[in-house]
Amino acid sequence: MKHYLDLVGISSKVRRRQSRMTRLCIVLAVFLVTAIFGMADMEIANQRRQAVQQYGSWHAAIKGGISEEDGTLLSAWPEVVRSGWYGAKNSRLGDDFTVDGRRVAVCGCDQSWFEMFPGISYQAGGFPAESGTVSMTENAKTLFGIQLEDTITLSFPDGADASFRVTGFFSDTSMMLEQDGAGLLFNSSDYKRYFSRFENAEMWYYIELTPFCNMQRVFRDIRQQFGLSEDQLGQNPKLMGLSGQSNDPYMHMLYSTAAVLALLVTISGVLMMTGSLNSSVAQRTEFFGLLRCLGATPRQVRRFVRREALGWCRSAVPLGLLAGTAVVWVLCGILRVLVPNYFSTMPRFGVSLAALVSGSVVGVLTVLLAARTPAKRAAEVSPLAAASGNAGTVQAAKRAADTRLFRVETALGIHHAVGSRRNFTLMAGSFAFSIVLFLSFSAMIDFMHHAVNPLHPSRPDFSIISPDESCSVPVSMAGEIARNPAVARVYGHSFAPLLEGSYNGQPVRVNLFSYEKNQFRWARQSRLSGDFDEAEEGRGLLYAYGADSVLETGGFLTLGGYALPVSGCVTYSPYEREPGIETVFCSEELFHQLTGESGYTAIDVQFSRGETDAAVAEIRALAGEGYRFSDRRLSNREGRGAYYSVVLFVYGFLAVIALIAVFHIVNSIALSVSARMRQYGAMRAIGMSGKQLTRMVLAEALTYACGGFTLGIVLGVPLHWLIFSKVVTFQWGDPWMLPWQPLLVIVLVMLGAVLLAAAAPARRIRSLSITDTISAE
Amino acid sequence: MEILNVQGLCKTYGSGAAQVRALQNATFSLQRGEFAAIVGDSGSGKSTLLSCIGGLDTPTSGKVFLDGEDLFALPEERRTIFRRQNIGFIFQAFHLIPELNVEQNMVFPLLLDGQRPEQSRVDELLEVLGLADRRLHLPCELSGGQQQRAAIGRALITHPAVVLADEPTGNLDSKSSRDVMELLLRASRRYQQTVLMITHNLNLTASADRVFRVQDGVLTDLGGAPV
Repeated sequence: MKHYLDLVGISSKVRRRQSRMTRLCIVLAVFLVTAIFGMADMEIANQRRQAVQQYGSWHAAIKGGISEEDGTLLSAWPEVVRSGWYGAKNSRLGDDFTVDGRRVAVCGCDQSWFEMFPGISYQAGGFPAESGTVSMTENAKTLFGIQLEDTITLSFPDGADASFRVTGFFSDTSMMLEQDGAGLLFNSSDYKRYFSRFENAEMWYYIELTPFCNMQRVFRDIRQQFGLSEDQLGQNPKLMGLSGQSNDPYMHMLYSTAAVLALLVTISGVLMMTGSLNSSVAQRTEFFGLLRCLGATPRQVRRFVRREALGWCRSAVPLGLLAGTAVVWVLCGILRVLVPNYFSTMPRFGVSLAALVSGSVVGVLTVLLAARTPAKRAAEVSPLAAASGNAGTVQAAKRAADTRLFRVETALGIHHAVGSRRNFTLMAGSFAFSIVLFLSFSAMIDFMHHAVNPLHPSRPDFSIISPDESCSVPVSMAGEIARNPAVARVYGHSFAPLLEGSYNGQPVRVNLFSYEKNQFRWARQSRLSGDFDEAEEGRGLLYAYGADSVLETGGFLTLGGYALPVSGCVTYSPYEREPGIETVFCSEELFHQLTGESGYTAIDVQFSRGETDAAVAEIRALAGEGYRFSDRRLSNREGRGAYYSVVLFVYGFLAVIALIAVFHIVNSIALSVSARMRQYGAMRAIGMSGKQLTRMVLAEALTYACGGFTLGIVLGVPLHWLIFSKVVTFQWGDPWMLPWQPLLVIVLVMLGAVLLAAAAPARRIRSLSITDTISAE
Repeated sequence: MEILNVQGLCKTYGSGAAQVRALQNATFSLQRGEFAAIVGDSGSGKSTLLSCIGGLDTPTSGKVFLDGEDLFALPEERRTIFRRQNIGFIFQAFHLIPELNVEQNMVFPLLLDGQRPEQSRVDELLEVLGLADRRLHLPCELSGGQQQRAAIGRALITHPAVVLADEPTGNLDSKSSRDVMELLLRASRRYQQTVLMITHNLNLTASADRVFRVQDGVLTDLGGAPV
């Protein structure tokens, strides 16, 4: 031993068992941060790969202002990995670029540009490098009945024609499938030759940068060198955001959210560990008193406590990092197996440097922050505590326990909890913190259900639509489609646009939609108010909530000469609501009665899981010519992937909060019991039974839980209301309701934790011999 | 040479009706190498006096000069450092650090002071204390007498101006008590060490140079002459 701080190492070896709980706290905090950041990192890597697949690996696109020579110059920049020209025309199929009378989208690019889109690959053939050649989306084979090396004729809106040899078919895009159109891809030279004479057909120069350069600085340099305006240099926001290089406000919001979450975990960790270290210090008042007696200055004692805490980090931090990384691997593995469509690109055994660094930093930082108060307390221990031999591990009681209301052991338990106001506030406060976090975050679930559309159960996979939005699709077709074994659900709607009506004597314009039983069932899930049975039975109408809506549940809307009750209001409409026009739903019978129409405007189909390409082909054949089709399978899959990511994030975090609450309660009770071990021994010596001891510990734990719960509700419910009104009510009109479901969950979690917390220490007290307990440190 | 000078030391606990005057105007001084004993009944104020002299407790009024330095005029941090360099404590309950062996316990105050223990001094002390063959033993492996001897070694290692011993034999059997007393006396003589000891046992005061009695907080000098 060369230095007084060497005692830290010697002491911690001997006190290994006593410091187990504190070390476990550090392990848990590091584990949580590593797991959260690790999963976030893996998810970002996954999202990044998906973003590259979906939107390409380019970082910036320059519109106009640069010549071909400039492009060549730019491609030689050290930060530029790949670059290429790209232009597109008619991607919304609004103009008459047609093949066999069907509108098509056209685009042109360099082969190097194509390499930036690994998600678009050739299913057959290859890039149209030669002049007079073209490649097409794969659905063109079905739409036009063509094969490789066939020749197609493209008609231009100005009446010109040109023929091209087909060199390849590349993967479909969700946009083309949804619009039931095909895409044609030319090389840059042909694109310029044939399409530059049309408006908005200019080519963009796309660049991909090296991953670790300062992209915003490179963009600034490019703008300066080529004299480009801000608008001329567009960025790939998703990829930039996922690379941590975005200046997009939404991405900044995401980053700040992640930072806030990390801060919350740190605060939880600090609270948890402060309690643990405080208890550890309280149990060793005599020891610190002795150090002070022997001449240790308060500063030396503070340093001793801090060093001791940091010493625990030596083993606890690596353990937390290992556990966190292992959990990340397990979760990634589970996600890859359970939801392969969306998480197959997730790394299998990825090691996240960000998670390791943040886990270590948060671990050490938490310990240092958490050790501040206990270190101060230890330094304040009077040397007399050792000299007089009166060093108690428990604060002296200021008043006696009230044994009039409860049995003595229960009264003592409650008294132990509330005896020290500071301790009670700290414990109840930290329980309340978990509740507040849980409630605040549960508001995000409601937000998520609204914000991520493809989740809505009414979203179809495939639709057969009347080309002129009339009611020309026969109702009988729905029955025929339903017979297909791959089809899970078929439902149609009729649509009557811009009906003139009146409400409270004022004229209103109405888009009227018919609903069948499936749609009424889904509508009930977003019920804001009213009687939906009345509407389903054809005796009333439902309307979609809108900030400018004049309709109210209980009023009467006059349509087609009928005064119809407005039976209810829904917060969600599958059809976009136009400003100033009411979106109204009624039963099919009422629709027929009001409009005289009996056909559908569109039939929507939802498929069972599995291979559905054959079913789509059969439905197309069944419907025949004369309809528009919309295939949303790919976009639904993309959207659902985004939804699962959000779900993983939101529920994962809720689980983490619940876990923190459980561990915190268990830890606090265990520490409180350890501190009173001698007292309990004495109680047992004078005849307290094991059951009574358990009741006493339980009463103490429940008192903390009740205090924490009350404080949690007082602070958490208004906060939930605030967040809900800002992110949900403001946007979708859902009224705030007491979040009884999350409250119930957190109460059950806390009760479970209290039982768990009381059971283990009570068993420990019972199993110890009375003399051991009295003499236990 | 005067090493300890206590002037008008008072200590009062509580206020009003609950006020307890634990120490009333205690005044005395000790010379270098003097061995003094304080006797008195339980609760008479002996330990309060010792705690105040040792700077463990703050007196309500009065002054304590140690080697000419006014102990309570020093700020907390400096007082602690001064205390560890000039006062050695011996407790009734030994209060050795259970995790450290005999030698480590003895040198611990030096380490707190940032000093390197002089091995020859440590060896000599261990020899004097009769603990040379127990130097690597943990406190739990020692008898009560041996533990108290280790505690005495810890108190002497820094060459303090004064050693304050609070009932050092209170937890020991008669033989160990005799040994400890002999040891304290021997140390006092050999190292010219001033010792102020509290004891219940009047027999132990026989070898003291001076004896004080504390009764209801009042200190009385029962006699003895400076060395």
